[in-house]
Amino acid sequence: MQKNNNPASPRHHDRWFEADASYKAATYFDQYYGSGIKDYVAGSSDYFDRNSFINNGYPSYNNPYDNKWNYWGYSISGKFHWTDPIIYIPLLGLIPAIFY
Amino acid sequence: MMKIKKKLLILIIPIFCFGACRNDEEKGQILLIQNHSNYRIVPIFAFYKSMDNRDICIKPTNKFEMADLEDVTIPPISSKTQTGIANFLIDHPSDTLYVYIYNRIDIDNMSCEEFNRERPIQKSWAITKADAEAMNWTLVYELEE
Repeated sequence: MQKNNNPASPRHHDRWFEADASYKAATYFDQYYGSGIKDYVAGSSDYFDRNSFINNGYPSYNNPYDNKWNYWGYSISGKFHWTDPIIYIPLLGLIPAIFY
Repeated sequence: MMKIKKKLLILIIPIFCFGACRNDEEKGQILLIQNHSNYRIVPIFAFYKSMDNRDICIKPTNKFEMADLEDVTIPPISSKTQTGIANFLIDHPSDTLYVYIYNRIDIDNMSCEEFNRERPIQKSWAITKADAEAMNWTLVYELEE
């Protein structure tokens, strides 16, 4: 978890790489278990619901294993953090290697 | 060989620059929740179905959920925007969004069993897109004496 002292600072699940993973997961599940399939019924507990996956809110689906509803959403929009350039720079630094 | 490398470079740079920055949550609409009371409140949402016959406890079970709860708590005499929630109403205009307002102090002090038994809801709304538009996308919580 990222520091909480500064409320404006994004936490781990808001970082671009986590948000991107959540975006891919939401898209995949929605395509194969949600609105992407033929008989999809919005709000039915039998199907994946993209809204309740990405937003805070109770879905129709109840996890049968622990009898709980997942309330907290997984953000699909990353927030900038000061460490991002530190991650980007080494990656970008690999580009010249293409030429040699 | 050099040409292939240049083509690869041209392909890779836009992916670096634009690949991770997409944001399809933004549709230009927000739902605003205003807290006109002197208490810290927590709005709880449910999509499609009300929580009348379901357990509604969101007491944090770990530090991540604790931080999430802190994020959604609305301090006294202030407001908070809910972007993704507004998108639900835009995407599903005929479906209902249920909004429940709780006092943060109840979430902190009550056990989940107590919480589900007593259900200390301070206010609730069941709204569709048309309702939200009629309320100018703003839900106001005022302490009822």
